[in-house]
Amino acid sequence: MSDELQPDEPLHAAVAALRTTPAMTPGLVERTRERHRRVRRRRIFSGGAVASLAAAFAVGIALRSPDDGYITFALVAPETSGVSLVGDFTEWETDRLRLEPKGDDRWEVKVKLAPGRYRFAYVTDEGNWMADESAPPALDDFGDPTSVVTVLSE
Amino acid sequence: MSHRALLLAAMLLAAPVLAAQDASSLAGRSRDQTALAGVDQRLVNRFPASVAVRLDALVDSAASLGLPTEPLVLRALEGGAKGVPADRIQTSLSRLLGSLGRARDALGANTSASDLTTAASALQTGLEPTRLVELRNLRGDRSLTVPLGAYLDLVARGAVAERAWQRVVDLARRNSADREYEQIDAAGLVARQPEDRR
Repeated sequence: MSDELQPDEPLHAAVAALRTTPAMTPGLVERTRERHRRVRRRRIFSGGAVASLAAAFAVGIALRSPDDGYITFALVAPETSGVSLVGDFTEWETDRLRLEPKGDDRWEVKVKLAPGRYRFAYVTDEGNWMADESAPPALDDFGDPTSVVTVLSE
Repeated sequence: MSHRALLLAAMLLAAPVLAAQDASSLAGRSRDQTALAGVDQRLVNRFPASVAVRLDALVDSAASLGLPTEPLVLRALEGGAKGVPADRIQTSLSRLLGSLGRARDALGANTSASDLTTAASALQTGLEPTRLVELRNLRGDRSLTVPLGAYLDLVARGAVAERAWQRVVDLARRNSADREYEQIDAAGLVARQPEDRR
């Protein structure tokens, strides 16, 4: 995983982290927060350049929980009053799936998805679109941060 | 003349004009309703009538060609949610429609909507349709969504397309389970030089 500084990328993209498999471990949350703190320090000392985080997972395959068939979407997003999960599975309605605060800037929602491939993103109550930094980015024409997850049938 | 009399006179004078405006507005609404008949309700709810009609025309084209329509509607809704200008949404839908058609031509009419949509995205990265056929033959009756999705994810992560494709095909050749695609080691797939991208 690289912490290379990249200009012109929004800071919120650098601090976001998501694990679309059921297990977003406390270790991953802590590493994300530490990266966020590092990003902020670098931002201060690098004259405005903003860091980007490299891919955590090369291929965005999500396994449904064997217990209940749900997938957990989780995000570390400081400085927001609320977050929605939007995507193909919400028909891109921005208020259908709200993430619940779990403490320490962590937000989470469980979604039951049929096998398939879905485009999705997060929208904060402040109107910021955020990609999932641990899922692959969508190749798309619209330019806004969007991620992709493939849900397995097996 | 008292204020009350002036107000009454003004109302009497304005009445025919307002009535005409009401009639015109009703006629406009009626025209909109006629134009919107049969248009996907989600498009009607999210876009101005004229835009919904334009976008729905592309959805109709897909339906008449026997292609899945849902990917087009979802792409339109995504653009609408992101506040993308209507012309750009229309262009994106047109591209997607063309790619869905090419994917279906390569994979056959019985291909699932999920496979076609993922294959269309793969074609938009520059993948040759013959590669889709190659993968179809390797996978038999199994879905192509996971291997094609893995390829797209690797390319989106900056992998060299040809290397990513070879890795995916290697797994397909070995008849690997879908979850094995998650284990693809991206090391060595990422371009080192810009010209190495493809």
